[in-house]
Amino acid sequence: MNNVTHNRSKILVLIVSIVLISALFLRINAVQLSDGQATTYIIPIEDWIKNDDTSAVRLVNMLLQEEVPVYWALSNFTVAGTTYPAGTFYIRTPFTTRLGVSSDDTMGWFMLQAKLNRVWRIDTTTENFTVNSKQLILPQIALFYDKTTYENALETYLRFRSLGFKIVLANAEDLYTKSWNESGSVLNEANVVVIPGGAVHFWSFPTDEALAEGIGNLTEFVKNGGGYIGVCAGTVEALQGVQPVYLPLVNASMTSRDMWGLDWRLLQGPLYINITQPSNPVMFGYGSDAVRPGYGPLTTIYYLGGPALCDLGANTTVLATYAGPITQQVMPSVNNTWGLAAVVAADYYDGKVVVFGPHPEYPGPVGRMYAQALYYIAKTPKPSRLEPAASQEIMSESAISECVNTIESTVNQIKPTLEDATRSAANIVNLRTGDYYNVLGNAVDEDLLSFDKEAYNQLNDLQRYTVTFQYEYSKLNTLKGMVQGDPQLVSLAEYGQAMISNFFNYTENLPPEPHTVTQTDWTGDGPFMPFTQADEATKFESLPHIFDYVDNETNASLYPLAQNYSVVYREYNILNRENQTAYTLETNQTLSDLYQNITSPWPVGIYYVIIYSLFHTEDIVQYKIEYPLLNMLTLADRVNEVISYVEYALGSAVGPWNYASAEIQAFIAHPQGPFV
Amino acid sequence: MTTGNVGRKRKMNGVISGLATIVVGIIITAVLWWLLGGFGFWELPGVAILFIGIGEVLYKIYMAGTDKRTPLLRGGLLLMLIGLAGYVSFEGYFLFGTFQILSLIATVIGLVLLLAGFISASKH
Repeated sequence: MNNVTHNRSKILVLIVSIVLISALFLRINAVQLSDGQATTYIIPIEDWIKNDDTSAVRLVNMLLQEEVPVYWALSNFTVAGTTYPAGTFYIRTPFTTRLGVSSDDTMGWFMLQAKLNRVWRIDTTTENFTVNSKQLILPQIALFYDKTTYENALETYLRFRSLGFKIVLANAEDLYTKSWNESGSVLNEANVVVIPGGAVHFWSFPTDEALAEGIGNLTEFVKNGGGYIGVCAGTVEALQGVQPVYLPLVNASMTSRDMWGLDWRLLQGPLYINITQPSNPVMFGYGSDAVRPGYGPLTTIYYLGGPALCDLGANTTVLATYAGPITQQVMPSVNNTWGLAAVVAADYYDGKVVVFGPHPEYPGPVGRMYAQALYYIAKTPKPSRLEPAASQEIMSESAISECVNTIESTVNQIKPTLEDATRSAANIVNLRTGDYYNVLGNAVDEDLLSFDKEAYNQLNDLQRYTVTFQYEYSKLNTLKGMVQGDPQLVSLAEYGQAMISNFFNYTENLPPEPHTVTQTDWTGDGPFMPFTQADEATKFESLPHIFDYVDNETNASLYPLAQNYSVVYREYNILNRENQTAYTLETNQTLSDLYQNITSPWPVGIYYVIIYSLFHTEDIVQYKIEYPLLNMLTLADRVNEVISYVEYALGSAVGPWNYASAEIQAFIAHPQGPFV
Repeated sequence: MTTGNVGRKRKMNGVISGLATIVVGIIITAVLWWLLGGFGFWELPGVAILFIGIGEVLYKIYMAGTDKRTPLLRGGLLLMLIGLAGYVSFEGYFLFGTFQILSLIATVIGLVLLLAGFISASKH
């Protein structure tokens, strides 16, 4: 018995010993030692199994926001036995950062973020190498967001957001009230301007003088080194060969095509483009040698009726051509599109331009292409527009809590209203009068629904952010107390808190939004309540009133109008089918008269009544709701990045157990914080 | 004699199942090591399964020749090993201090239960 007990004791000791030795061995492996040696971090962006390229772009942008020098290889290179293709990003240490965080801590934070964001492979080397490369300049983007951009600007914002770019929304007034290089001007603070698709954007300018001023500013901006990206309508407006010439940026024209015809609409959707310049930085990773699935030999991109470019002159380079449809059946009239330029790069004096015929902002494999276009054209470093002013006071914890409660209760108040409005907007779409291929198809019936749905997502994000920021603010308070002896670390913690305060301050002081909402009195349709200055939201908590307005308008006015329209729409289509199958002069005349009646400019036919009524409501959603929400979201995204960076540096200083203590204290004060 | 055969068979099944768990743990650890680039906090699932497998095998060997049920000892051993796996995975990441503390607590509780189970098993 004693032997048995003794043997069992020995085995137990053996168990514990083996485990502890294993743990010790693994612990040694786990510790990341930094020996202070100069190191290059390389992001193998073509390793598609381990690295998501759009996440890699997002991480690069996070580094650029902190003014970390990031390099973009413009040709292949080999280091430590591995060959990396052109388009690879790399970072050389040591470097200095704008907040004074060490390069070791900065890259430690970066490596952690990479693991959490599916950029799982980062190669490091201490070997020297030389490669033709460009030091990236953070694109400070001004995105045109006004009447005539419809949902294109929203989709562009969402695409840029997913890539980690921070956007300032620019409207027509921003472009003509201040000179391009005037202090406080949107163009002066940007190094890239993006004009998305939609209708002719210069219709957004109220007078010919304002239009001339806006065009002049945009032209001078690009001439003096600014970058320009045009998509679809934004491309047409930049072509020298299209009359009237708005922006003379690209020495090219577009194919002559009856824009009011229907055949081009059959192309709507994803189609193929052929990459003709895979060695151009915009096209790195695409084309016949593409490694990533879907990036070559042909690439898919969304098409929405944009131009096919031709007659290209000096200083232009065709980067991609239209290659063919994917699932669309096309009429012979659009077959002249294939082989024509879809994406073109141009130089305009000191500025660089990239224009797209199709839409890179829609889902598809061209997100990285869009990012590369931005990196390619951004030439002039500009300071970040999202940092708190030096005068920004750090709010107290109780003030923050008040803001959080206000925002949460406001969001909870808005949601049922928005849900109802979204259902009504969906009901409008479900009337099925938005057929693009139909002469009477309402091309804008889905826009309101898109904005409503997106607004819901944004409210959810903002609600989550506010709860998180409250928790993080408390954590930063505790961490600040732990590092009192180090002024640099204290200032880091305070910077994080200032960023949070700046966000909440914005929610309490929404800047005025200049747009005048489209009125519909001229259509003879007068049920809409006028939207006046008194209705504008000056703070987040006054937004519910505007949602109520939109909900009432959608239910009481838009939907009944849309229903009436659907009746005449169907009547027309039935008659049209009859006319096609059993043509008579009488039927044909009836059809023609009906069409004239429906689309009459004056007295206004129901076709224009429904479109302009939708515009009215969309204007309110786009400018009075989405405009502040998108700006808040941009700010919140930036705050989130700064907090994670600052807390990494502070955690490095205080160690894991003190950091855990700060977390636990913050959790006790705000239990929801870590879990939203 | 039948009891001895049944006991040996049970022991072998337990050891085999433990070995299988170890193999699964090694495979998961290796795959995550390859996929995510080395050893780090992401190895927790693989390491935890590996340690559980080791614990199962050693427990079966330790309890060889007896039909006694010792849930306290077994549970304590597994909890200790899972806690150890967590601590080993999160060690070196100062932002995961809370997870390190929770892992250590699990390890200590597991060790206490293990010793209590051992004492209880030894008395009977």
